[in-house]
Amino acid sequence: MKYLADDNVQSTPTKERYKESLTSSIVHAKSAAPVAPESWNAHMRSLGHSNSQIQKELSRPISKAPIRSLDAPEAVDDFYSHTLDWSSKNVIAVALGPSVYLYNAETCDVDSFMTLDNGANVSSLRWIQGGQYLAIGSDDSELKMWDVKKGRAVRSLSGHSSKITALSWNKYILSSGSEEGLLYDSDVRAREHRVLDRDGHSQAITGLAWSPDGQTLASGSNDNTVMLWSANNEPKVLNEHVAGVRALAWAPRRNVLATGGGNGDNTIKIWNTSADHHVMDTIHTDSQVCSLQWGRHHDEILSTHGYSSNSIRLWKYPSNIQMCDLRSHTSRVLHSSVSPDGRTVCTMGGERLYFWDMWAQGDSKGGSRTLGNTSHSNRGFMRGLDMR
Amino acid sequence: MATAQATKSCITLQGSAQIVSEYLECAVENILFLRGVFPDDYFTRKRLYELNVVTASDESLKKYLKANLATISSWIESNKVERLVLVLANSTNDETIERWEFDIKTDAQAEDDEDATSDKPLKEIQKEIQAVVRQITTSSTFLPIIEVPCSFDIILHTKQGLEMGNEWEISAPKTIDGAVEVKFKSFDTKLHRVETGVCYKPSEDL
Repeated sequence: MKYLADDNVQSTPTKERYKESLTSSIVHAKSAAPVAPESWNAHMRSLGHSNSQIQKELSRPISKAPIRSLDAPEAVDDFYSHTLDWSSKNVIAVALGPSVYLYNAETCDVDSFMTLDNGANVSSLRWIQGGQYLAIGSDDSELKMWDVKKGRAVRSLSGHSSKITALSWNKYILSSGSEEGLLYDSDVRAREHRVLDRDGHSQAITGLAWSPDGQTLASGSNDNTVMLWSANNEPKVLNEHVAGVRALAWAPRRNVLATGGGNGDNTIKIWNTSADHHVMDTIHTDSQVCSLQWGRHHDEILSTHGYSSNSIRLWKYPSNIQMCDLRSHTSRVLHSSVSPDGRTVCTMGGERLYFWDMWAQGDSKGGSRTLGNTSHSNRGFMRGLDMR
Repeated sequence: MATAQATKSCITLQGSAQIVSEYLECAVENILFLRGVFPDDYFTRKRLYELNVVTASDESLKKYLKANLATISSWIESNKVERLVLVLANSTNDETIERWEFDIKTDAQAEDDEDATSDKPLKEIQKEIQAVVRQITTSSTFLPIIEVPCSFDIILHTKQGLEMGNEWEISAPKTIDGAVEVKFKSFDTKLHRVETGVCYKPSEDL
């Protein structure tokens, strides 16, 4: 049983019991508490297993240990970056400093994909929905679209003059945000790619997320606001956080968005984003919220945190009850990404990646699993080495 | 800081302990009702924290709870209680099946100073308590259905040096092996902080 004694210190059960025996006593009243009448007890005994299927789903055990881990040497701990993404083709792209590696989650093969050779670091990367192209932005304001099969950049999407801090795809539209607060859409099919500027934020763009129906772009910024951009490009401003908003996650259901506040705010807000947009609920946590993910088949929200718990939490929606608090990471868990089948979550903090079997389906379809079976439990990304 | 208004809405250590005790009483009664420890007619509905909750109406249950919670309340006032646990056990074999844990943390300043006060508005505290009670009342959506007759016990983790009197004795810890732990929201009067959680054994056939 995990027991949090003080704010961030986690004691083991034996340590806790020893401490308890030294400083406190466990007492109870001598006279026994009243008991229910026998008729009631008989009734309790007769309760059948009618709801057991639903109960299984709702009281499912959550694995407290990661199912796989990878070393990510020289990963840069930067709040203003998004360096992890899991494609629909089951390939994870990770940026470690100036290099991008591709990890095939099925075969466990690691490939060194590209390296910037001008001293810059990769600051953002995002897979296009089909998984054939990878948008890679760097801290020297370069943004390019890379063809994964060909292994080279096929388009250069110029326009930014500062670090590319966030990216989000909506079919062939790539929304990109920078450290200066510049946010614009590129149509990667068009010769003149820069098709729509979105003016609104006054500080760095910290997060971008297109809604599942492709109608609304949510942008989070260091100016503490989140803006919702629709077809008419007049943004709705969500102004309830008191710190930069990096974590954004659209719910599978329509018009619901979760946002997470950075250091000093530490809250997760659930918004109704329809016409009368408003906060429906606020979850107070004890740490900076770095990323959020909604369960695809479970009404649950996963949050990853930085200062100071470096934890991963799972929240039941809409009761907001905390279902777990995972403390495997020793650095800020800045990044998270979900497998294409919605079952596995990958988290990155410091120089470590962990995989969690978070959302297994009740009736598993057997068939293909997200993570290939392998006995390699400590694979890593090796710089300068072609692993193929 | 000592304006007339601030003095009016100041909470003393005693007042804060009372707020905590009232919450504990409400939580215990509602958990006993929600988890089916007693038949529904052992309880009546009442309004508290702007919510519809229940309170014990059966005489023997009412008497037992009132007496013990009064003692517990005075011990909270003298900063002797670290934790209250409502233990639900299978009455056939005494196996603990669920533990509702209420951790009471006293503000460091308040521990030494009996005259410590808090300027946190009562309304704000009640709103926080309301949020936890709401979570408790909706927790049946994920807690395993209890299909055995239950008995309950209230055990306290107290600081050393507590004069227990004749009515109380040392108790076994009554923990659960391999329990799932769920933490609820907490509330803070600025003198006392109460954290609520539940431990239970996940359903066996999972």
